[in-house]
Amino acid sequence: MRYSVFSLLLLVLLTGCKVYYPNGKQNYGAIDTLVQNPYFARLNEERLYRATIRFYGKEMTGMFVAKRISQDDHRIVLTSDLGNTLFDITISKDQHLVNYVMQDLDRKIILHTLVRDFRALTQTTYRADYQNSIANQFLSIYNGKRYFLKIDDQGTLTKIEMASKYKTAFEIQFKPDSLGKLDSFNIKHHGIKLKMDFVNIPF
Amino acid sequence: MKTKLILLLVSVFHIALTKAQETAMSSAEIISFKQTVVAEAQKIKTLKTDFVQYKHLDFLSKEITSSGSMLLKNPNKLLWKYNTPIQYAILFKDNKVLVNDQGKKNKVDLGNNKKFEKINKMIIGSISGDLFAADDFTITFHKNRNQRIAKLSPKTKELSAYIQTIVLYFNDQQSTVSEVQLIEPSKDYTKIVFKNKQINQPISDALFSF
Repeated sequence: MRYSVFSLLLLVLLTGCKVYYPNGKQNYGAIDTLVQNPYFARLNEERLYRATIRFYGKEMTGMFVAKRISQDDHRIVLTSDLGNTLFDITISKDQHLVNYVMQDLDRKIILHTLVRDFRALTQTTYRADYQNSIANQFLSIYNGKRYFLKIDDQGTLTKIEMASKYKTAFEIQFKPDSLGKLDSFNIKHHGIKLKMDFVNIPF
Repeated sequence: MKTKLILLLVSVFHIALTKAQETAMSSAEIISFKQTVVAEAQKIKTLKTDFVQYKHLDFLSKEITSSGSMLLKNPNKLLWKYNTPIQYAILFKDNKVLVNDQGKKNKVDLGNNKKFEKINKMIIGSISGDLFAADDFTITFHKNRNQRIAKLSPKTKELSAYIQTIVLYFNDQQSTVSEVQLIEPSKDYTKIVFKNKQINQPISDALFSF
C-alpha cells in the first residue's frame, strides 16, 4: 500500500514536471537559424501606441513609445494620458538602464517584469535552436529562458511566448497591418494577472 | 574653419541674447503682479478653455500632441476632455476622480493616482492663481517682452520626485495663465497651451458627469 502511494506521488510529480512545449515535443527538430522580429527593428523609427494595462483588476492607460535608438538599444517610455512619465527605460540584450521611474512603480519586481517583457518585444533577432515545421514555430533558448516564436503562412512573426522549462511566463501577440507595420500588440502574463494592450495611434 | 568660428560666435551670441530676453521682475513688479493675478483669480467662478498638450521626450524627434477642452467650475469641479488623438476625459469632482476612456467609465486609474491628483490640483491652482498663496513652493518671478513668468519649485521631496519645476506663462497683460510647463526631474516636460479662454460664462453642472 505504502509503495503504491509513493509510486502515485512520484508519477504525479513526474507528470507535473513535464518539460513544456506548446505543440508537443515530438515535432521539434534541431536547427540553427535566425528568426527576425521586424516590429521595432528599424533604427530611429518612432511609433506611438495607446496602452491599456490591467493588473489584478486595476487599470492604467497612457501613451507608449518604443524606439530603436542604436544598434543595441531600445528606449521604452510610458506616459500617463495627462502627460507625466511613468517609466523610461533603455534596454539592450543583456543590460538595461532605468532613466526614470515613477516612485509608485519603483519596485524591483515591477522593473524586472517590465524589462523582461519589453526586451522580448524589441529584440530584433532570435537564434532558433529548434523548429516545429508542422506548427510553424521556432524555439530559441537563451540564458535559461525558452522563446517560442510563431510564424504565419506569409512568414510573419505573430507570437512570442516566453517559458521557463515547465510553464509559460508570458506571450506577446502581434497584429501587423497589410504593410507589415505593427497595428496592435498585447502582452499577456500567465503566472500573474497582468495584461497589456497596445494600439497604434497617429503621431 | 572660418565658417565654423562664425557659426560658433553666432550661436553664442544667440544664446546670450535669448537669455537676456528673460529678466527677473523687480520687487515692486512682483507685488503688483501677484496682487493682480490673485484679485482676478478670486473673481473666477467658471473657466472654459481649449488646450493643446505637448509631451516632450528628449529622445523623440517630435512631441506627442493631444488636444481638447478644459472646464473649471469653482469650487471643486474640473474636467479635462481630450478629443485627439483619443477620446479620453478625467473629471475631478468633490475630491473624487472619474475617468471616461473611449466610453468606458468609472474605473480606477493607477496612472492618475492620488499623487497625480495633487499635481492636478497644482494645475487648477496655477490656472486660478491660488498657487501663489501656497506654502509648498519656492517661487521666482520673471518677464520677457510679451510675457510674465512664474517658476515654482516644490519644497517637499514627495512632490519634487514628480515635478522639478512648474512654469506659468501669462501672455501680454493677461491675469490668467496662458501656458503651463511641467518639467520633470529628467528634464522632459509637458507643455499645455490654453486658447479661446472664456471666463465666467455659464457652465451647466451636467457637463461635470459622464
